[in-house]
Amino acid sequence: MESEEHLLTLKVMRLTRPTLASPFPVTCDSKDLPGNLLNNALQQDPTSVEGTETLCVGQFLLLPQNPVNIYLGETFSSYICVYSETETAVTNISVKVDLQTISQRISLSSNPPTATLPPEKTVDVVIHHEVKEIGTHILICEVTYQSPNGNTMSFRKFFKIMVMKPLDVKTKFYNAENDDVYLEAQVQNITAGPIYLEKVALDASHLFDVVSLNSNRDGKSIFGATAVLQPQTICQFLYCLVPNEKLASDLKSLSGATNIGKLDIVWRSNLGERGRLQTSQLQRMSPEYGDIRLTAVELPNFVSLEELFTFKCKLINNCERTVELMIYLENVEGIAWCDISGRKLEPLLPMSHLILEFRCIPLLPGLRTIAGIKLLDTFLKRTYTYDELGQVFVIVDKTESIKSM
Amino acid sequence: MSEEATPSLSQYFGSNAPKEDQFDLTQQLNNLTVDDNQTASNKIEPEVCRIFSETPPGVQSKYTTEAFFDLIGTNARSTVEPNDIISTIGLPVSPEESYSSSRLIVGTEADRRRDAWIPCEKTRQCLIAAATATPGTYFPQRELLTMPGVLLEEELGDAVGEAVALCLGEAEAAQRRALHAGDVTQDERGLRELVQAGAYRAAINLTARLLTIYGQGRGRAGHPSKHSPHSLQLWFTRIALLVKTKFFNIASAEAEPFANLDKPDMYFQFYPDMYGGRLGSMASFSFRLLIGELPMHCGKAKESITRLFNVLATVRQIIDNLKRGQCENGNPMELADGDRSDSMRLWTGREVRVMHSIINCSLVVKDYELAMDLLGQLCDREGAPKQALLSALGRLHLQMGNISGAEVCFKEAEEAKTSSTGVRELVDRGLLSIAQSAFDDGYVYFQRASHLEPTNVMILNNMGVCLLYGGHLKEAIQVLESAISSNPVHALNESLLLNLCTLYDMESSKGRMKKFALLRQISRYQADAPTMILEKLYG
Repeated sequence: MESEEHLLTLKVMRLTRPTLASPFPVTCDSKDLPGNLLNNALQQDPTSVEGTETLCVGQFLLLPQNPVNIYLGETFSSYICVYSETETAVTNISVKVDLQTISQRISLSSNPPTATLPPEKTVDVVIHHEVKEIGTHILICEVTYQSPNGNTMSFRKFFKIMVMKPLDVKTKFYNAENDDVYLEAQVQNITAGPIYLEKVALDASHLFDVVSLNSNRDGKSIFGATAVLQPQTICQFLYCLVPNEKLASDLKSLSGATNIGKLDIVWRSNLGERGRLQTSQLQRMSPEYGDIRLTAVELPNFVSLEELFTFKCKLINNCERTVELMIYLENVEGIAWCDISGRKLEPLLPMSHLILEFRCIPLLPGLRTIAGIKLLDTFLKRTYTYDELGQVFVIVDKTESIKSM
Repeated sequence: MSEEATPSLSQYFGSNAPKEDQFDLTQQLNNLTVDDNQTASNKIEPEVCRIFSETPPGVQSKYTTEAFFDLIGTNARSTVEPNDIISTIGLPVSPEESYSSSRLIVGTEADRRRDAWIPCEKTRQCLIAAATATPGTYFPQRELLTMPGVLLEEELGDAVGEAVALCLGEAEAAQRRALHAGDVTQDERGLRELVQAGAYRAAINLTARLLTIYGQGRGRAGHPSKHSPHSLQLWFTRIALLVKTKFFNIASAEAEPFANLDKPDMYFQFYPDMYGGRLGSMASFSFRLLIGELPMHCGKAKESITRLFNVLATVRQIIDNLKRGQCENGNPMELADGDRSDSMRLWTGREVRVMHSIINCSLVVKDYELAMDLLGQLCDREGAPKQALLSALGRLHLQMGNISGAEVCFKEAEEAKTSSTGVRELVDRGLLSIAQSAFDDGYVYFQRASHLEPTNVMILNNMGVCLLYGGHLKEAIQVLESAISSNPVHALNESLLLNLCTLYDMESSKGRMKKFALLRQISRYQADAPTMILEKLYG
């Protein structure tokens, strides 16, 4: 062994959080054969808690006894102890601690050298490092000192650490008709034990305002008070991103705004062991708006059967030239148009918009889709069909139906 | 009265236990055995008549059970006679007998309350059949019988002594004075002496010897034998001690024949000739709880949760029966108001105890939701020890990493505080600091607590742990060593020893010598120590 040739020894212990020990309660009634002996033994056990002796929720700190996994985003802490094994004093002791990851070497500690170390005394170093890479890490501890005969001695010890991935984050985007973006984020616990999600927040790009949809009206989390994520389970978060006004008015940049933001996740496990992860920039699929875009802007939810109603649409020219359009209203089942079909619209300048108003009468009750609007670009001879502009629910007005009888 | 208000675990701890449970050890010794022969010749209680109206009295009825006990062969006759058992195992009969017989008048009431249990339907049918059949014609099916036997092949040795011999030499081992099974009287009293001394392995050995007298010793598993409250108490003690010494697999295997303690031969009414009209479970409630918890120790916590919820359901049924004006098992019977409230207190206490066991089980499988739900229910109960429970809830939050939740609980616990020492709050704050990585702050809180309770081993230990995380290994070792030297009997505890061994391992190659010194201390002060610790000391 290398260390045996040296006057100093080095030991390393990983400092994960202690656990709370408690005895396993074995109790009996005083009428049972052991009388109160088992109860007394339990009560006198220093790991039992006065008043709740029969509960295994302890308060006695127990140092980590088994190796615990380390996960990306957690803090790696270690105790490094250099101990003098000789009868005489050793001088100029320096302890250098580095961490070699797959991509880089990080210096964790290079304290000023200890001038002299008397026999049986120690040099103690505690290091903390937030791990930012997955995979093999090597902790390199190097001890340099001067032996009593003046020689400079040095030895190194290596400790291998495997950093694992703690969470699996899956995201899904929905581009809504009204230009809002919905983000569904699934956070899966892939660690070996349960974790508590202390914070899951969307740090949105400045182009969007975020509304978190993960609490109820009273501001309480919809996941309940506990919010513990058992291994392999998934918690799903939902966010609504509203493009800010400037972005909403500019279709080109709205379409180009694919950077949504980052998810910031903080979790804790045993006795507050903390981890933090930030996802990379989340990207949505850019919505394809085309040259001409027609969207409903004012549409009633409920309309009465056989009664005229109106709705408004926004027509946007998204291309570089002025377009001239013809509008056609085709017959669809259940809705009769009260408008002129085959009419020519005013020329629409590049990057400008127009509000169109439509009038129609519902002929059938129930949920009806607004369809049958066609636009013809007279220059390109290209037709745009809008068969799903929105839906109305057609109700039968009772008072009306009585009158008609 | 405070004891009225707390349907708590007072029967396990503290001084405000119900009156009839306060007997000293020697008195209990007699109760257990004397009950057997007294009730045999006892008057028949009213509710019995309903079910057992056709039970033929006297000698004839003996044959109902004797018929199949004869199958055991040889000395079946002598095991049937309770008096014989007592004399065989050498229990004293006379001295406190006067006390016991005077107790008899209130005794049946206390017995009924304590032993009450509701059998499952199959067992109930079988018990009716046993009691109503023509003598000599009822043979229960074999699978309805409980046929335990000691499985441990050899007596357990003195583990500490062996470790001392191995590490420190035979000479030191020879100096060790530990109690062995043969050093005490071969009866219950000797057994208690061993338990009191902490010589659990020796006590386990003695239970095996005593069970042999009942025909339930080594190699007897699977053979029919007769049960009595006393034999079941021996089994309870044995399995409890096996659990305490962490021989979980043996405990589980030996307890297996008892199943859920719900086979017909676990009830007094299975032996109408011996116990007259006495009703209820021959196995004590503590045994039932212990057996429910056993699978958890063998990696089957979910099974334990199921079993314990079954126990809880029956306990709640009993409480409902009492509330409805019936007696525990649901029979309509007039109970005096005092008796009813005593019974309510006993059974609500047991309800709480079962809930504690379920919480412990759920923590083993880290089902924090279940644990928190049950703890919350316990907090909401009238007269609950709020401060202690809220503090436990806070620590539970810390364990799972919910720091803000823990803070809320600790604050509520402080508001509900009943004791004025402040130790509880200081310890809670210390733990909270640790969860926030503020080990130095944690140390200060524990130090303040230690000023209030200088001999508290837990606080000293926690100070030591904080010192280590702050980079002060030497000081940490000093604190733990001082805890041991000032209070060796209590401080030579498994967890503290594990901590100290870990620190010794860190310190130097001389840690081995220091561990041997610890072993010497254990040998001096402890009758027994967990194998894991001993292995750590000479490993």
